Amino acid sequence: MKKLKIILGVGLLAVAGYFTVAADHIDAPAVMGGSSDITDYFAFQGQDNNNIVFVANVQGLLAPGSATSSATFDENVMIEFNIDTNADAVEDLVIQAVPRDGKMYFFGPYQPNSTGISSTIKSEALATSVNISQYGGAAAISNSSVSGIKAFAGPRDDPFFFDFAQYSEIIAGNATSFNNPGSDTFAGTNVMSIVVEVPKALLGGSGSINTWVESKRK
Amino acid sequence: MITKNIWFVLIVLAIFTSCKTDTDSDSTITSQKDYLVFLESNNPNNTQKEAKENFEFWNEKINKEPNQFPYLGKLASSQNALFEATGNIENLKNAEAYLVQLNEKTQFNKPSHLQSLARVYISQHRFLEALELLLNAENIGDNLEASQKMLFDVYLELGDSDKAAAYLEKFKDFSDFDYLLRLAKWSDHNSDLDAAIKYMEKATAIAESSNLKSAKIWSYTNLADFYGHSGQIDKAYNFYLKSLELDPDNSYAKKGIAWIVFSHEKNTKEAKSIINKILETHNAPDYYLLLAEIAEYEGNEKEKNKALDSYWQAINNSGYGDMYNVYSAKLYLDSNPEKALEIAKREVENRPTAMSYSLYSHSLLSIGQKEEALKVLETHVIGHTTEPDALLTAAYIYKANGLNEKVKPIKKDLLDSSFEIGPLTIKEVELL
Amino acid sequence: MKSIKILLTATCLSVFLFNCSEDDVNDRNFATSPEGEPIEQFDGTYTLEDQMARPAINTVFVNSGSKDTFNTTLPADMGSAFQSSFEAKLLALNPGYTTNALGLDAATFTTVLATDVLTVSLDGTTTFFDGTNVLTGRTLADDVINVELLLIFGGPMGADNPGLTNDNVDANDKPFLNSFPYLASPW
Repeated sequence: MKKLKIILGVGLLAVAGYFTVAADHIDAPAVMGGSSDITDYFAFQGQDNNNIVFVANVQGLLAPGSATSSATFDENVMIEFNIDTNADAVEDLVIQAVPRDGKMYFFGPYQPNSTGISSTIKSEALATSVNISQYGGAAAISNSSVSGIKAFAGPRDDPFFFDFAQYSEIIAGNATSFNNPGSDTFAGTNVMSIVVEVPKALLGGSGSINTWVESKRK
Repeated sequence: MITKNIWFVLIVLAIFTSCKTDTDSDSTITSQKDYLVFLESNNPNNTQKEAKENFEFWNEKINKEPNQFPYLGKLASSQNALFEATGNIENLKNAEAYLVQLNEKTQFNKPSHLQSLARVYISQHRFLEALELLLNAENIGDNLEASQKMLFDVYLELGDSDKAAAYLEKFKDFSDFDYLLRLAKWSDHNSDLDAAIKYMEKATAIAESSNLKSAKIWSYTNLADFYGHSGQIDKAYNFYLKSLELDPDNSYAKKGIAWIVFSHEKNTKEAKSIINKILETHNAPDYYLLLAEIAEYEGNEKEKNKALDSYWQAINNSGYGDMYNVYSAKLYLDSNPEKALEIAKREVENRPTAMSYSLYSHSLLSIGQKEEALKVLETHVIGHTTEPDALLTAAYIYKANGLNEKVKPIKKDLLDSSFEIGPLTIKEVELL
Repeated sequence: MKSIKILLTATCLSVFLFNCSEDDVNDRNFATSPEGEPIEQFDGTYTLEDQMARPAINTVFVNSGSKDTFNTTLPADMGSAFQSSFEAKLLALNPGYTTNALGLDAATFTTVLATDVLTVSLDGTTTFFDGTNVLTGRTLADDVINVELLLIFGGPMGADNPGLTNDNVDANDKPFLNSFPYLASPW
């Protein structure tokens, strides 16, 4: 026993070893999700009445400052604007927005290779690309004279307004009515936004379309 | 033909030994000029500043609108970020408190909130509480894949390999970052380090193509660990540096470099200087253990005791709970083996992993029950892990039981893991 | 012996270099955009993770436990998959529901809602609801939540359950722009 103790005495403190700590480090790995969650979707007639504007927002409730300036688009995630021109809720046209190396690339509107769950990109369908705007700088806008498409990508004020907390209290049975005045849960916060303005002529020209936005991961 | 074969064998042998000599030489991998800039950038610590700024924003908002419970989640993440930046346990406890409030507000029925709280429990090694939350989240069903991924993590920590394997199968997807890194972890758990590295490299490639900073930093440091684990120290060093380029405040990567400087280069003075630099902004008890280990290697008893005092002082904070149990138990093995045994028993109860049993068997040895130690070792440790720490314990127990022929192969394995176990322990291995 | 040594050194060196090399930098092929700018190749298959059309539909109408499924069900399949559960949810939220301001009974209203697409007119005003036009788009300023609350709780005249038909947050906290990109600059 004494000998053992002597032996033990040497390495007794070798408890902070390299991989012991590393194993702890790997204990709680991140779950990557979240970068593809869509928070909001808008579609409306543009300032130029010949155009329709699509807005998709991701990553809600960003605090001003570093939380916003360090927010980035996941470059493995495509934002796909789906457009149904014949009222069957199946996309006839898509506009695909894909971020890469500080730019957002916009493809379409074009008829996709396939509809539904999976998408590929037709590189020839590239309509425009725009530098992803930096927080604190001016909005970078691309305005393609060839396709007539305008594009923006980057942080914006969250345009949504809603007393989400009180709504949840009502649903949970903790409250029976909204407060007056209410409290805008999204006030003073930012989102990562993709805005694309497209000539109506590229969407069928007249009548109605059905539209929805999807996030798809590579 | 025979001659040819012999020549072939000889050449292979020659290549092998020659390569081995190459990598085992005292070649210096690190250079101050690579990392000094990151140590200096410690002041001011940007990550900390940003987390604080975030916290203040949400705190002000919730003070104005106390019913806006979604802000509680934001407050929790900012406290969690502060904990990561400073090591201050109070921040982690604050994050927990916010998340408990958030879950109370949502009747513990929102999987994403349950997952956030579970994550904080995992950080505190409160795996059973995490498990309960995650099983509830799984049962509710929303955000299901995240629940399954975290259940894999928790079952692996709890030593339930069968359940961990079953969950891993549920979210199998070779193009998914989260799956690949868990597959890497799983491969490592099964002592298949080559596979672990392969999958971690794949996960890293996805993190790089996503271009998300946090995912890249996380991948680089973990990949560096695996490389170090396999003795590819130059690669480990490069990946720690890569993560520091993205996050100059990353104390984990700095610590990894300090370990290389100590373990591979035996430059104790520089290693201590790096750690002391980290301690200026990131205060976690394990740094003191590392300082103590280095001081002991230097034969500096006074400095060792000073570092140990700092360790005990640091963990004398109820907030740490069980987080440092294992470390403390190892320190008690000599000075207070009964106490070590008590902790080890609790660990085995809470987390019946091979590593917990290894600690348990070691503490049995320390109180003089060498036969019982051998029994525990052979039932629960041997064949279940190849972690050097467990192997070393096994060697002690075999030796104490006079089973010297079993010590030999272990000794060889341990000498091969010299980087990982460090020069202090190697001294001891050489005495085996 | 000397030659072997040289050979061995070379072998080891290459092994070393191989081990040390960083991940190969992806060679990316460049194509050209309509405007002549070089663009990268965008290959690979992208798979659906999340989707959205009308605001808050998933939050309000989809039962917990089905939200993942709703997010990955194609709109063309949503009606048959979700109409009945939407109707049950509507009647749970408002047990007194008869019809709403659009004159839709529970089955008809939830049939419209369950296929979650946003209809947009190419011929004029686009709005969620402006008193005249209904569901012809969604502008930034539309108080969509109030519209939905009114249709769920307000009854045929929009006068029922007055405490539940207005969250009393009626506009954004920062003015929108009249021109592209329309959303206000970040805080």
